[in-house]
Amino acid sequence: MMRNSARTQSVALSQGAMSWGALNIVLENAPYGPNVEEAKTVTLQTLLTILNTTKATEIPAVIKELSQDGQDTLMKYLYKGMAMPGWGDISGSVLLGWHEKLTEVAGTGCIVRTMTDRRTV
Amino acid sequence: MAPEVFNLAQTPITCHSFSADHKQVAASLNSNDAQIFTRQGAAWTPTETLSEHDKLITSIDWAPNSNRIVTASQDRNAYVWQQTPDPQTGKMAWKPTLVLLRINRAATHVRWSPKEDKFAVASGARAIAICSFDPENNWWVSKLLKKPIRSTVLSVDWHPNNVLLAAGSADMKARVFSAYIKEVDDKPAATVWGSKLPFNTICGEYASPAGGWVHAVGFSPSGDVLAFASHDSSISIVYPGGPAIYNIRISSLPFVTLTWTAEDTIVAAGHDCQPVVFSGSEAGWQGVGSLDDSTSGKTAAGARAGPGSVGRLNSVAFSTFRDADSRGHTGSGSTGATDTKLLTVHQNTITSVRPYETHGGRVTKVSTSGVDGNLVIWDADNVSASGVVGRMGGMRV
Repeated sequence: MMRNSARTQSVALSQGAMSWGALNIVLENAPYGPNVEEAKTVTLQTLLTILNTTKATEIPAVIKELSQDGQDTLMKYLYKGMAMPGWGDISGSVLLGWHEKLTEVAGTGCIVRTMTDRRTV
Repeated sequence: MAPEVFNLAQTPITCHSFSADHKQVAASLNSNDAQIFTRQGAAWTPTETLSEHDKLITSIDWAPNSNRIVTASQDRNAYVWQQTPDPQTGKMAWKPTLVLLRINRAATHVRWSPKEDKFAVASGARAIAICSFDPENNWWVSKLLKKPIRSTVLSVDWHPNNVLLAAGSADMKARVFSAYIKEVDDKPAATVWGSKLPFNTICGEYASPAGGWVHAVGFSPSGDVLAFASHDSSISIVYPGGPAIYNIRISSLPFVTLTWTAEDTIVAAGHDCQPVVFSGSEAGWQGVGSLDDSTSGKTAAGARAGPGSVGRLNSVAFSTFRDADSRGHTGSGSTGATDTKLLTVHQNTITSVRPYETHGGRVTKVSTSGVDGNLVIWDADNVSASGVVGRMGGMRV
């Protein structure tokens, strides 16, 4: 019993760490500027896959591990995802779930920065 | 000590400025007139109205030593008001003097220089007018700082040496200019910002980190450090000698005004409705708390929602939807959905924060005015860390 719960925990942790690592790589290398539409599309797709596969219970921990830059960039992608409904395999509820958790951690300031920043993703 | 709260009007207070003895305050109540209030006991009563502008007054500054008031307005004019005896009755009255601003857009912000022989008017004409008195014609003339400003200038602040001027602009930059006027100024000594300072020298240009308008700028008391707050919910502190820029991203809504209270402390306020204190040194800066201790001294509102909720988010519509969403409640629930009162002292955006009282080089009290029509005097040392930490950590949306 004990062993079992420890196992689930460690599996959950490694999964959480994996999505954090993947998310971090994507966010740190987010493409900016003109003439990189293809790269932007690929990044958004990759990111959405990660968001979709992260368990809801792990989301807060993953977000807390991100740097402030990472959190701000993630918010930009969430809004970009929400701006294109029916695109790819985006589910609105997944994005809204992440948005809620991210706002709890990074605050409304993070949303304001997404709106002001002209370096769009 | 609890902050002193005065409700001056039901309209927004665009700006305010106290007289040197703190017995009077000039404020623009979102109108074309500047209203002078006089303190009578615990209340402020309107005593005089300065009417000359024909559009909204955007900024007022009351010079403490020369007792002159300068007002700037969207009608593209500024007036300097001086108390002069009426020739017939001998009663003292405020008389305006025209300022030749030569700008073709609204004037947005005005500040007297420390020696009170010049003032700077920020404007939407992508220029800052530096005004000095011309005794021959008995009016104020201006010289324009233009390059390289690319959008509306939103705020200005003078360096203590009376020559350097900081400006924050909607082109997302904070800049430090030389506003040296040959006829008025002595040759300034070299500072960390530079040594040769002819008019319109650009001594520094700093961009806001995530591209927000720079709403407020301020030199530290020594003039060696510059702070600016921008609309990307951040505050930046610049050490030009370093060169180091410390940027603090805040988790709440953007600040629109700030003031230094000591060489190591800044008070900033804005859309979050509470004055927030930052402190630090050349080694680093961080937010330390809020002057608005919303957890104590409040009645039911504070106790019910606790320190975990953000002032602005405690609105009727918001809690109604939240209850409907999370608990399936409709109508007024136990969370008091009919209560529209925010948990902060100010009930709306703070438009201006200014030093009020100084002791031994430290500002001990600051005053704020807000869109809620309130004028509040805060004890600058009464920082409540728990309030702001709880709020930032436990933000609910």
